[in-house]
Amino acid sequence: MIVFPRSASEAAAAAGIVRAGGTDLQERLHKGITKGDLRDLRDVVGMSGVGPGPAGLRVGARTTVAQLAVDPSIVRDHPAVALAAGGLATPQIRAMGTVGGNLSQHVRCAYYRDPHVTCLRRGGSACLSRAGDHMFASVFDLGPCVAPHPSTLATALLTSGALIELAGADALVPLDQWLGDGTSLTSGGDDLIVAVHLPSTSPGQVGAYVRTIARARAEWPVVEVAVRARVVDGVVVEIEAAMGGVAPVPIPLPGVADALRGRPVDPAALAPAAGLATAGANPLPGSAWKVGMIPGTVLDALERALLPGGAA
Amino acid sequence: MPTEITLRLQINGEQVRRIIPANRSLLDFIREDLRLTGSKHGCDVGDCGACTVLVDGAPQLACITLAAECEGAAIRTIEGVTDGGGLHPIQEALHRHVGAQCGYCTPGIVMAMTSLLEADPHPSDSAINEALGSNICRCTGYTKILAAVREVARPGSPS
Ligand SMILES: Cc1cc2nc3c(=O)[nH]c(=O)nc-3n(C[C@H](O)[C@H](O)[C@H](O)COP(=O)(O)OP(=O)(O)OC[C@H]3O[C@@H](n4cnc5c(N)ncnc54)[C@H](O)[C@@H]3O)c2cc1C
Ligand code: SF4
Ligand code: FES
Ligand code: FES
Repeated sequence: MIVFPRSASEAAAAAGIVRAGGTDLQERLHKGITKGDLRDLRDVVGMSGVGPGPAGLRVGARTTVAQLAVDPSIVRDHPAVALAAGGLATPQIRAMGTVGGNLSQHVRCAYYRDPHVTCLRRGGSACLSRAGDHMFASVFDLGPCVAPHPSTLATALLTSGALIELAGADALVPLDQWLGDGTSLTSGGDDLIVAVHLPSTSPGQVGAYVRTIARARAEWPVVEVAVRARVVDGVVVEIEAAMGGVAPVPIPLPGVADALRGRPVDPAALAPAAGLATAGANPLPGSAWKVGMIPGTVLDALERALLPGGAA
Repeated sequence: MPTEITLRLQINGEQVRRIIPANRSLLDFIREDLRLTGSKHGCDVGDCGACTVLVDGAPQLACITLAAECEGAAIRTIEGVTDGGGLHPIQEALHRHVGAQCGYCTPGIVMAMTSLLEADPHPSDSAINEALGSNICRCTGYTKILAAVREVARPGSPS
């Protein structure tokens, strides 16, 4: 069965698997690894678009990734988020995929998506990737499952301190809290995301989003990095960085940001700061090569955000 | 068994009504129920663009589109890319430039380019690249495809 609720409260009360753009869900339904009735958000009023909200900006969960990439207030106040939205997947996926779906999408691990095997995350007894092919797996081994978190938007939104509005909840939940510590075996949350809130920022925001990727388009990043900063009179007054593709949860990079915050922009300081991003990496034998991709990706993002004219 | 729904939509200008499983993809609906097999199953996961059709004029990956969501929509497939069944200028140009080798990607590319050229008859190279960004071709290396699209977009100029 499929239902098309018309309001967020109707959607929250309805039964069935939430369907937004369907770019992740349809594949899983087709393969039979996800089964059940559907509640489709297509007709829900007030769940799409960017507007003012209590924290700053409110992004409806059904806003498409493509809309987010070009929204003038996101481009101005949260440029790293806009760049990440414009840089992920392919134009057609960005046109269909939504903010809520991007955050809640399931891992792309080939074992997880193979209907012929049942891995730990699908209720089996072992992580098949850990013992098998894990070339693109996590390099920060935080939990039983080693599939990297798939959401580019979550990585970028971490640098903006985003908050999640869940149906039926009184308070907004900080994104890092909603994402958890990477040990959970459920993908997405249990509750319907109604909107994502972005706190107000001071004027003069700069940002960058860089992905290391095997081909130009239609590929998942090996490592992806988002940086949000503000430079006043040559001094880095604000900076936050986060990294995706390397852990079961996108990880903030406080060490990198702390090394640069409050200091004049110094091109020579960027590479040593970027090098701090690998601290704590504990890769699997097959994913160790990815560690070597991290410093260059972080450095590229720092250069694009902080140096005039972008990367040197 | 998934519950069935009644779906009404327009396909290549013709109104159709079918009872289908609620979770049927648009691609399976087009290929299996309507027997229009020009749109291809490439990856079935949204990677390759071989299944691209136009939904209300915009290119969409039919493999990851739920048919039920297209109630009332106007769908165009490669079979309806021209009214009379002749070749579309982009198909003629692809033919001239040998822009199809195995041809598996071609229907999707023709649909994506048709939508681009209908919205903007003279797109820039970057607009062409962006519009081709959802379509993977494993054979041609894209050079001949780009030459064909440029020829239609900018007749007379060197491609
Ligand atoms: C070729 C390709 C490359 C890609 N590359 C990238 C990439 O680089 N980075 C990246 O981030 N993504 C990438 N993607 C994935 C794509 O961005 C996601 O599939 C998409 O954003 C999901 O959004 P959706 O609206 O289509 O979600 P759906 O498929 O509709 O839903 C996905 C999941 O989220 C749940 N859900 C949806 N909306 C809500 C909500 N409001 N509240 C709670 N749960 C909800 C659904 O129940 C489902 O489990 C790629 C996909 C493809 C096919
Ligand atoms: S990495 Fe996670 S999703 Fe992949 S096989 Fe292991 S438990 Fe399953
Ligand atoms: S078959 Fe639809 S994108 Fe490949
Ligand atoms: S011609 Fe073979 S995939 Fe494009």
